Amino acid sequence: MQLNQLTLLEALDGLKKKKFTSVELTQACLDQSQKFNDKYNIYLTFNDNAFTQAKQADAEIAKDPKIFERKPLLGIPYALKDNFLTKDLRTTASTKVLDNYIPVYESTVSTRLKNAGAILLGKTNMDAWAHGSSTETSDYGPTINPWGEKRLPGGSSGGSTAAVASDMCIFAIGSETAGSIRQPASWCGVTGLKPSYGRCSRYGVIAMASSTDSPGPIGKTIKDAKYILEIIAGEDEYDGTSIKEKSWHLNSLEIKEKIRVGIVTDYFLKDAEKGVNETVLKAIADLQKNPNLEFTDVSLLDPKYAIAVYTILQRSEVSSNLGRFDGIRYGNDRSFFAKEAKRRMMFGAYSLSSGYYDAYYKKALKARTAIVKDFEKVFTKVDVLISPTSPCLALPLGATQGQAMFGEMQDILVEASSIAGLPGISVSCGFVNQLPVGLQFIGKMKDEAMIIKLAAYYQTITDWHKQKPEIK
Amino acid sequence: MTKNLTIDEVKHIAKLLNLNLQESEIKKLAGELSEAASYVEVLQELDLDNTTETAQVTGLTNIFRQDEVKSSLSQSDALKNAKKTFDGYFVVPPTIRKK
Repeated sequence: MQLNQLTLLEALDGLKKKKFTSVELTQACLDQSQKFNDKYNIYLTFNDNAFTQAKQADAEIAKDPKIFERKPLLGIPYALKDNFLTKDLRTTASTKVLDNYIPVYESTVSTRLKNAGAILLGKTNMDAWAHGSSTETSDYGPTINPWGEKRLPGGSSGGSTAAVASDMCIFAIGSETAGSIRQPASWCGVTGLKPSYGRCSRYGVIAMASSTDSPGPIGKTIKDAKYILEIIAGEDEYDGTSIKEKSWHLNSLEIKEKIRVGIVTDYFLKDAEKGVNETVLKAIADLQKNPNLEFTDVSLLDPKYAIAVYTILQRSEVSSNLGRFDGIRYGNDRSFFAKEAKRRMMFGAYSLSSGYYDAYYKKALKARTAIVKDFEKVFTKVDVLISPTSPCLALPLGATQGQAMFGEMQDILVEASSIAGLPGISVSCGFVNQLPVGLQFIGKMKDEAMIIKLAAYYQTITDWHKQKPEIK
Repeated sequence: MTKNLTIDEVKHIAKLLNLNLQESEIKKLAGELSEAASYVEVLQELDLDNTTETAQVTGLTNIFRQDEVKSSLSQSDALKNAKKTFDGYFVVPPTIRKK
């Protein structure tokens, strides 16, 4: 096995035991990237200092054997979605509006990773402004899914999930507003963890919809994702919506107690792509063998309402957030906005405008309450929800063309939980036509512990997450 | 409440957003925005008269901090990405024009 193929925990173990150096590990990831980045279009910008930083990490490791207690990610190379600001390193959010933008400060998430010793390899492609579910709306061209040369990786964190799937990094960071971690994780066959809203600071993340934006880890296993979450989560004085509690910390991943699992019957759509529902049901059958897991069918509000709420709220917040981009203090002027951003701003401004505010925006805020309450009700009966992540497999390149509502349909099974701020995980649970299928766990607000536990159990009884695409 | 946006409405929204749109774009957007408006129509099916609004989901209220002076961006950093500066200021386009 090559070093870049290691999981985060394996890589850390190797560094600690001095089986290899951070320079070797970083070089393996960079070699893989140099070989295949032109074809897969995963990294937009590389960090030229990665190699120097790896050397420094090796020096620190040589000097102090206990260094990992203080720097739990020392020497580990990672990929960062390009909507996280990185000081002195170009940050575009995949939009030409920010083509030449060099941030003068750093996001909280990447600061925490840096302080933990992680080495930034580069910034990954995404849907421009994170407006999308394909990575095809990037102003720098689509990323290619490592599982299929003519397939999309999903999005908007498609560059980050593809970087993990193709072993161009040890782990990656994404952000999710409604599906942007879980759905591309599903399409790329990796583990994506969308934390509760407020768990990870939004400071220094180019805003999409501020009331649902949630940074989170993308890893090769759920144990990796949990390890990263412990480092990036937590209150931040620069983000007033960040939450204090550390209730999700787990001493043990073992399932010792009875856990009530709700199968969301409404999320097994009749028109789902052939094989998706069947693959997820098979995964559930595997879990059902554990006598501590009690399964019941549960019903949630029809996901079509979540699409409507999300369409209104997200576009309204977008129209407000993108109002600040005037090309005066940084970036290019407003003529550089591409089609999708304009479409979203236009609908948002329309739904906020005088005469329509009550019918659209206010109505959506009320329906958001209905969605929150719907989850609260179901969580009195069960501890965790389970369903497919996306009703379809990775779609072919070009699938977004001429579709004004593309994305909302692909994200139909993740939007409601995002609107309610709930944590969710997607793990790979099998393949249909050589393309990965995602199994989703949704937890109560702030209860990442439960979904991590279940996903970790699933990855001990199956090895779908160990499958690798053939990159060539 | 089925609503088709008129060309004039689209032009008005574009003006609010300070977007210069081509005529062809405006026509296309009128159709696409009407399509999006018809998607969200389903909310009319829900009885929400007695429901309050949710703007945020953390339950946090009144997050305050001490009003302490801390280090912030230097003037040169703040101006670093600006296309035009003068004497330590951003140069902005004129908003009032002479007749």
